[in-house]
Order: sequence, then structure tokens, then C-alpha cells
Amino acid sequence: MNATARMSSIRLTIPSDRRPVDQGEGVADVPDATLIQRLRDGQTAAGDALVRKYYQPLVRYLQRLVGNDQVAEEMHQQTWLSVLEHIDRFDAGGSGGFKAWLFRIATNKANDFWRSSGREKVAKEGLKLVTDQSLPGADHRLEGTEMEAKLRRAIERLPEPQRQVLVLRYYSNMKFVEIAELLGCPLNTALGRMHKAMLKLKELMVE
Amino acid sequence: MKNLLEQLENNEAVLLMYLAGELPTEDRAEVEQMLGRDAGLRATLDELRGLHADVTSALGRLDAADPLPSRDSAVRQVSRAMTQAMVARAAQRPAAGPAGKTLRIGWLVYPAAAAAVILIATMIYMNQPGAPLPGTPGPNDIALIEPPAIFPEETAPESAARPQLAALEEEAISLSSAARSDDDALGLRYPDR
Repeated sequence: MNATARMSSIRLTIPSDRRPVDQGEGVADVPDATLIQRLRDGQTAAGDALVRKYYQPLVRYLQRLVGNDQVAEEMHQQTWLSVLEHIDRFDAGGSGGFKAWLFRIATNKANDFWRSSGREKVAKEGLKLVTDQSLPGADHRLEGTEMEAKLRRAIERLPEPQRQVLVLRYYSNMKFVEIAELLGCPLNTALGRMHKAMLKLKELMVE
Repeated sequence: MKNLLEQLENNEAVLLMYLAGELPTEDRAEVEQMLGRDAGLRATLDELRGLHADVTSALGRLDAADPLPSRDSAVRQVSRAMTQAMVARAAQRPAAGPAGKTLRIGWLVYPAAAAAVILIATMIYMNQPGAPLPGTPGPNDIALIEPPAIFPEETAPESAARPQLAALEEEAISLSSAARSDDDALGLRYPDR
């Protein structure tokens, strides 16, 4: 096998266990468009199916984005309520489909959160203080290894735009073109942020 | 997307897209040709691949060490909130049915209100103590209207009032005859006489 063939056989893809698939309940078999139409018709079961299908990638994305489990869960619920509120406006033919639309709403919720919390740095420090002192999730956070704690801190220290691209790519498994469109930036900007985020993360982890 | 390669600004961007498998076939083939010729580019590709593997592995470890809350309970909680929102939305919709199919009666309101006011006013008027019944003489029927009692509290029997009425009638007739005599004397003629 020559070098080129070897390189092309290994792709920068996301592990299958991070992808938004249902765990053995058949929901993954039903297309999003069908579930959305059912939700529009008032079938709550379709909403349950969608929430279940995207639970893991969406909650993880929000956790890594805001750095706080409780806030992430609250945002997760708010995201779905927004989905329900604006479901009639969703255009299934748009770029990225429902997943891109869902993650755009979640990203907007996170941005709103940071804006309402004042300056990003102040908000993050406040959250970190609360998390370390009193939140229920703090216990198991302290139980993690030093490397994991370091990684968590490193993610939190990434500039917001870089962190968005990194965790969006990792948890949503969306294409870079879709990520750029979702974030409203040129493709080159999104790719540049991804590259910088990976370099910075590695640098912070070895500090 | 054709010619995507031309839009990418630097090697890292090209290689990230290449590694992600997001380049069109023609662009991908071109990158592979470049990699075959350029050892520096291959080294950059290896660095990026290693970097990506490290970050992916680290995030995977972090997720494994930081389990999510029970999916079922979280989904139930979100579903409950969504159901409540759907019920609230349904309650806000007009009961007449879907928009566009509601009966538009706005223009009927004003004439109906006017008719109702007229009807109510008529009913109030008809219920007054002195109001005439349908078919009874109106206020212009002078000869048939009894004169009002001057002293209502001392209302005289009908027989006592009759002589007064007869006297008044006689006086009116005599005045009328006198007026006719004066008209005849002056040579005045009225067509209704």
C-alpha cells in the first residue's frame, strides 16, 4: 500500500458511538422529517422520539459549550421548547436538515446564556465557582482523574468561537460546511478555528 | 461542490477537509496527487491526523468519566415540558376551528346592535304605565283623550267630569261658529269647510 492510499483510508471522522442514533428502540429508523410532521400534527410521541434520538450528542454539546451540567440540562429543555415553538418554520429542505437546525437553536441558547451572564469571563468564573462549591455534579467531577480535570479546564479555556467549532464537530458530526453555515462564518474561518482549537487543546493538556 | 479546493486558503484547511472526507471526488484526487509529490504536505497531514486522534481520544475519555444523567428520566422531563407547551398552544387557538374557516360576522354586529337597541327601547316604552296598547288612540287623537286630572289626588268620578266636558265642547262649537260668521263677513273661503 503506497502512502497516498494509506492516508486516504483513514479519515477524520467521529466515532460511531458519538453519533446521534437511538439505542435499540427503532427511533433511528424513522426519518426526522416524518417525526417532525407528526410533531406538527400534535403527536407528542414524535417529540419524545426526537428528544431521545438526539439526547446524548445535544446534551454533551451543551455541557462542553457552557461547562456546567445543570445549565446544560436546562438549556437542553429550552432548546426543545424552542424547537416546538418554531416547528412550523422549520424547512426540511434547508442545509443540514433537522440536526443542523436543532444544534443552531442550542448554540443560540448558549449564546443567549453568555450574553445574559454579562462578560464571558466573569460568567465562566462565576459558574466555575458555583460548580466547584455547590452543584450536585461537583462530586463526580472531583473524582475524575487529574488528566480529565485538566482536559475539562482546557476546553473551558478555549476561546468561545474555537470551542463552538470543536465540540460542534465532535458531538454533532456535522460537516464543516454545515458548521460554518450554522455559525454564520466562512468555511475557511470555521476550519481555522478547528485547527487552532485542536492545537490549543493539546497545548493546554500538556501544560 | 466543485472547485471547493480553490476556495480553501491554506494547507491546513485543505487537509482538514480531506481528512474529514468532505472534498468532492475531483478535489480529493488532486490532493492525493499533491500528497504523493510533497513530503512536507504529508508530514502536515500526519500531524493533523495525530492531533485529531489525541483530541478525539481525550474527549472520549472525558465523556466516559462523566456519565450523562439517565436518558429516560431526562427525556421524560423534557417531554413533559413539551406536552405542557403543546396543550398551552392548543388552548390559545380559536375554538371555531382552523384559521380561515371561522365565520366572519363582524359586519353583522352593528345592525344587530342597532336592532337590539330599538327593540329594547320599544319594550321599555310599552311597559310604561301610561303607554297606549297597540290599536289604542295615539296622542293626536284629541277628541278621544280624556283631559288630564287637574288634581290627581282628588280624582272626581267620571259622572262629575262629564258636565265640565260638555260645557267645554259647547264653548268650542260656539267659538267655531263665531269664527265662521266672521270669515263669511270678511268673504274668506276655506276649501275644507
